[in-house]
Amino acid sequence: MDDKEILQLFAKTESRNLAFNHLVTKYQQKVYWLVRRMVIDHDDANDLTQEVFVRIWRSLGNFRSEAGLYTWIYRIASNECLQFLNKKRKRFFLPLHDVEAELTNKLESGPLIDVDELQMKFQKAILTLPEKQRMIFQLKYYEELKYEDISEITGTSVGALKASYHHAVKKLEVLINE
Amino acid sequence: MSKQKIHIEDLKEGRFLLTPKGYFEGLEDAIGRRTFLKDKIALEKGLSESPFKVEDQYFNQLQMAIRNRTYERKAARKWRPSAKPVWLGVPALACLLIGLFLLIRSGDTTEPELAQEKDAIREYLLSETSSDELTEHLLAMEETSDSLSTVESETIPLKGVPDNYIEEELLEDLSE
Repeated sequence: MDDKEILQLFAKTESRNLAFNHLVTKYQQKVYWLVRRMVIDHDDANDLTQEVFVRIWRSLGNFRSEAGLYTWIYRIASNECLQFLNKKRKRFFLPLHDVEAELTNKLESGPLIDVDELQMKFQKAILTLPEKQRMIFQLKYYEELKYEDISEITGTSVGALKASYHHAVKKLEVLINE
Repeated sequence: MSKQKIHIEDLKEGRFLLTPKGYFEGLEDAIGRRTFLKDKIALEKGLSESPFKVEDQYFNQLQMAIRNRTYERKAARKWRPSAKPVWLGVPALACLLIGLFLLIRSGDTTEPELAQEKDAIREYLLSETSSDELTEHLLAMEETSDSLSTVESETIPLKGVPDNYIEEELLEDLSE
């Protein structure tokens, strides 16, 4: 079922639940993996994914259909992730590198993570990127989204996104080849 | 040598992200590199695969959890028959408990307070007054009570009214 059909079903009261069910089925894995790559820990990702869908449920009635549904969902998911990481930093008065260290620690010791040496090096390198740049890298590298769509999701211009992605890749190259 | 071969050679030598200068310039090249990373490194090293795992049934559980937190929970609330009386009963029960508490509290505190006051007065009298003074005080109190009883027992004559006024009235009424 495409996004348009989901929205049409959601507009009718009697088929609202069915529409949301289709939406969850379609997007839950995408949202979960985006969130998981940002927060690393499975339990955090599970909580945040649920929060994302609760927000979608509450706001879908006001959704403006000019914007793509999937970019809107990704925007909610990326905002939730960035807010979560910000809160974590503020709550414990942590500087950026401490949050990075915590996430690296989870990467090394957390359950449900299967990494070999090279993959570990690559993931650790990704964690050194600033949060927003890391989000942009994830959306481009893993989700394979267009810059125009990432621009809608992050509220950043296409030019700035290209530059950000380019710098991220350069940095990763350096870190992996160290 | 084709670009792809160079990359695979780089991979084998561990220089998997080092590619010929200029190759990654521009958007197309960036996309090409990502495709390369995903297609080639994935084959060789598994880099583009997510290292993060979940349990097999996780996404079914996630879907159920989301349902529970959204429309199914709200639907359940809507028709539950006991929901309204329960919520009305809570403030009523609270009021009842507060009333009981206040009632018990008022009953408990009055009698001990009075007893304490009496004890305090008794102690004060015993401590501040010598035994002679106390005896005098008690005698004086007895005298006062005697005089009061005397006053109560005596009849107080009313001015201008004969003592046998009532008796005379009665006799007259009877004679009539």
